[in-house]
Amino acid sequence: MIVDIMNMLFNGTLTGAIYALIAMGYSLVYGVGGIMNLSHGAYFMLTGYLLLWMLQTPFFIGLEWLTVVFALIIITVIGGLTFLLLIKPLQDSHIAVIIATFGLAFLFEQIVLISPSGTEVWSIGQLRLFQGYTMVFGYPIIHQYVFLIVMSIVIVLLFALFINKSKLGKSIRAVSQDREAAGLMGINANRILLYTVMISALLAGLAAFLYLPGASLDGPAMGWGYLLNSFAVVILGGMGSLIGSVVGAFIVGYVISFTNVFVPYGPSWAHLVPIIIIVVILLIRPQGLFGKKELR
Amino acid sequence: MLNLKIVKEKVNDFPGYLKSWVKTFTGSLTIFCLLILFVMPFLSANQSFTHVFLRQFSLAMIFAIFAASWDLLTGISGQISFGHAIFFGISGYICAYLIKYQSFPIWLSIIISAVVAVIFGLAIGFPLLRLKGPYLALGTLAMSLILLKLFLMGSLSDWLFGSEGISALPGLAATPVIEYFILFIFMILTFVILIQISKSKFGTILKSIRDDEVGSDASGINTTKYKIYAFMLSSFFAGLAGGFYALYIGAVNPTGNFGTVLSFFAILMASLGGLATISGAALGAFFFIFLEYALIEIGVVEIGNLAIDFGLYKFAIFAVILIVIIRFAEHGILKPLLERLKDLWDLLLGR
Repeated sequence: MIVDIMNMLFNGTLTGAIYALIAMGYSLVYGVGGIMNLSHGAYFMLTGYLLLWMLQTPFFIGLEWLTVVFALIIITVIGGLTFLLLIKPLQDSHIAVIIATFGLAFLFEQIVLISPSGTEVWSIGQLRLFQGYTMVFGYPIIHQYVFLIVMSIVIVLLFALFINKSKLGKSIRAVSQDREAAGLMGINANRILLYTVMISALLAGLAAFLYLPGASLDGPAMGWGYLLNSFAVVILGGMGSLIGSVVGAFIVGYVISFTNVFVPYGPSWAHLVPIIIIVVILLIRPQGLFGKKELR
Repeated sequence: MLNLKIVKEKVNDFPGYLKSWVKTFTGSLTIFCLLILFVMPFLSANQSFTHVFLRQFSLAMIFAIFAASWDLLTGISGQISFGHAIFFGISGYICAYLIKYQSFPIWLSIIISAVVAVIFGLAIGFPLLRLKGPYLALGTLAMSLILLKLFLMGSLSDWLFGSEGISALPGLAATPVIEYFILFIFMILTFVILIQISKSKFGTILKSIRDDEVGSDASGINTTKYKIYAFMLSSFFAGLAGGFYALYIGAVNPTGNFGTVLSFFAILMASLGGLATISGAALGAFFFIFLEYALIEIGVVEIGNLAIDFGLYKFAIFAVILIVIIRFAEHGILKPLLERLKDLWDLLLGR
């Protein structure tokens, strides 16, 4: 019994920590620019595969940490390109942005599928920083995941600091509150949006780097699962609210792990949790827990 | 809602309407294309060519119906659906199940499966109706992913025929030629119905809901009712296409009938032709089915040391095309294409 509780608590925290990062990025982009970037899940997936590909080339042997740096840079650039090429020109039409980013996510999935590593399950365990596990109350606590949880909290705090204190952070908040007024204050809203999308891609990439070495790359289709779950998290927490993303992430994480452990046929129901959350929240409290148009 | 006098006028007037329509450029072009499609099967004496090539046309017609149904829901009613594969797949499975395990006659199964798709449309439309725009898109995407997972790996999956699905279904008809004509007739019927709907008062109401839901609501239109109608109509035709597809392929399985790639196809084909044009969906369907066929036929091309397998790259190429279309020609290429053709025609006739 206590093993189950440990299982639930640990995995819930783990899931929450991962999604806190991913959802924060997604919610950021929406809060600042009103943009739904459907390729966000693909950023996560792509980072994982970028790491895999780089690890497979002889150039990086002995220099594994370099792959992480490169992958993060690349994914940030991809985020920036997504904005410049796709989102900015289509800002006026919601449907167009959605279809375009959906197409982009699909394209990324196809590109990975085509590549030599596309169809099997891979592991990038070389990037694991912490090996092994400790038994706590009969449940194996994997060290890499503890690292993830700690790092995730650190990143969230750093990010909160950044948003509140730094000049760029304040500009981002200004644009999210009132784009025109921010423009009148001399803030280049388009430039800020660009940085926002790049930051959100970076966050997704960080989440991938922290989590995937401990897990495995199950195939390019995994991007969609992360997209949907982040969507549920953001809906629960409130679109555009960063606190909401973090809180929502942990709530969703615990609900999913609870379902996995304690509900009969758990793992199957666990897939339904995000959609149930989405529907329920949108029916009873559409703005989510902390939702507001402004970044908080 | 139905004013008999107006309907009677329209029906009586039909020959005249038809005549004046045929005389327009678009009308005659459409008739021309339909005539070509009609004589297609008779053009070749080579049997194997007929089978393979003709079946591509049949496939295109199935997807034309599917894409048109998507266009009705998303382009005209503004209810963005990224999970259209739901109706397609559910109908395919029901049809397959009825035919194989309950020995229902083919036509009854198709109708029943389309009706089940409508019920699903209702069931899905209801909770998701509160969602708008991107939320609805993701909601429908989520639903389709859930159904996919359910049939593929959930614990119910074994009850639901698992990952292999149902196979060895009889075809739609005895020969590919008959299949072709059946689909041809259904495609024409579908398009006539959908285009008439889009031009009717009902269609205008749907468009007004798309453009300004608050305003429509304020004008006294029961937006919920019409949105549900839109879902049901769309899912009926999607279900019809799904049933035909199951029989065309001869088998159903989770990835093949519920896969995201199918929803992607609907979006792709309708977007190419142009959102809210309905007829654009046919253009898109034919374009992409034949592009896919061409890419697979081209197969592996060796340029120097590099071997490019076009067949494998086809979806990536489609995705790129979709992105380019949305980026540069959001309203599809049907209208600009028709205008250019008309100008060309006028040029040729010396006007």
